[in-house]
Amino acid sequence: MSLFAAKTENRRAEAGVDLDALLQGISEGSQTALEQLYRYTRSSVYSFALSILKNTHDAEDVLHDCYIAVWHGAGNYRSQGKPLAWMMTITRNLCLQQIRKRQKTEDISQDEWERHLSGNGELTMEDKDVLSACMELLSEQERHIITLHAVSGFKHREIAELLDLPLPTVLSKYHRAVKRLKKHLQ
Amino acid sequence: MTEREINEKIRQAFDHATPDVWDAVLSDCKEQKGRVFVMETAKKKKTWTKQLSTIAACLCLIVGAVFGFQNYQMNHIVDTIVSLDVNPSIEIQVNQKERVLDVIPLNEDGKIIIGDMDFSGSNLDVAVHAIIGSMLQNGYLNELTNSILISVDNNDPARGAALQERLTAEINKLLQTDTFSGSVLSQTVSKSDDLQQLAEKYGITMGKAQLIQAILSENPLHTFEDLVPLSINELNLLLNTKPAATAQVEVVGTASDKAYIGEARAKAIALEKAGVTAASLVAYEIEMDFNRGVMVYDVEFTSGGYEYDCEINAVTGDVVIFEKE
Repeated sequence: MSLFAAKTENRRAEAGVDLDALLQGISEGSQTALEQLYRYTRSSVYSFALSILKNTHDAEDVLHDCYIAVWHGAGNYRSQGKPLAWMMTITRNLCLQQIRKRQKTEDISQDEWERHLSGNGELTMEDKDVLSACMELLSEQERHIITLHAVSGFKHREIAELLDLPLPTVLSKYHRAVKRLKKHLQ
Repeated sequence: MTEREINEKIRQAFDHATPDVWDAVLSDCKEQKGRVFVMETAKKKKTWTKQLSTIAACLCLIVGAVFGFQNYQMNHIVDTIVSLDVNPSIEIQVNQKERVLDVIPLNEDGKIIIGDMDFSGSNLDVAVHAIIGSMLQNGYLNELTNSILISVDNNDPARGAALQERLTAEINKLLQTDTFSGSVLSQTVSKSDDLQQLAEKYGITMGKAQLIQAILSENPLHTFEDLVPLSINELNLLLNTKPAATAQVEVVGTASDKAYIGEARAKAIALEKAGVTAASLVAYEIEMDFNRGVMVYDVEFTSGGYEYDCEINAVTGDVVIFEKE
């Protein structure tokens, strides 16, 4: 799968944060750079992992392992202006490893999901509703597309390349997912 | 509900749902693969007489107490206060090692910027990056309002100035975006009781209070109270017209006036009101000012033997004052 040919216009990049420079710092052993990268990208990594694994514990493990992989692998990263795409590839590979370990994705059970949501004091009622809708109403691919677009700010064209899907498929799945979420949330 | 609103709700929900595993990541990232980690071997204990042992133990206690105090001071005492003002006002307190002890939002906009971010123990640079990122994401810094004020309060002027310079360069870099370039005002705060009282009275940072005082020193027609509600971008525009006031404040970049009608339009409105043409002007001057709660263009010109003084509402283009002598 090819990575993004075009510039990654994610929200963090728009915010003026130079993820390439942070990766350079990490390759030189800077924990400060790692912490900055972590603070800016952790939602992107976690949401993408959760959208693939549909299991909060496994997604949390992937979140942790992703930054360990970045810490050790930053020296191998060659800047092409798409640092977040590189991290998403790491995230996806870690998720696939996780799935291979257990042969198939173990979706989180309804009870476990509700327990997880109620145990998180940071979440508002609306957050819980939105998260449940994303997990329950959307297909796997729709969930990937929605999280990559809404949380990480990837363009549809970039998502198509990252997920190796035709652009029209990404667009139609995205619009279908938004329509479904809109109907539920209104 | 629009598509954008749905996306924003999803983003917020996942932001809130993401667990913080930083401590675990950090504890597993002590060394990188391929790096050599040298461990010192414990030295053999030498045999001492009882008396020497007692003296050594006492010395250890004293040294330990001194180092312990110094350590405490380095880690837990506020060494520097950095305040960031845009319209959100945020105060960052750091220790001698530039680790964050506390981040305090000083107004409602500041609370939106900080959200649920917890910076305790983070490096100052990490906190500043995150706060500027949040200001950009939340639209407080954009092509219409591109100015930010950094104020550094440290008892050691040299350290304060060095930190001011470093943060200015860093933040200026962050504000060179695809859509706009920022303007960074920076200063070291000269703490005084008066300044502190003003800041507390109006619920603003001492940095913003000091900036307003600098502008007032050049324009006594305004009152402190008039200028408090203005954003840093608006104060920056006023500062531009008062060069002497900038002696206390370092300015990098230019304040955005894109939210306003622009000098050319203001000039055209003033000339039309006066019924004169640009070709007939003998003298002409235009500058931004603030009057009766609104930003205005103050246009002064001479034509046909008359002197005109005109104030044009910078947002609506309405003529606020028109005088002909």
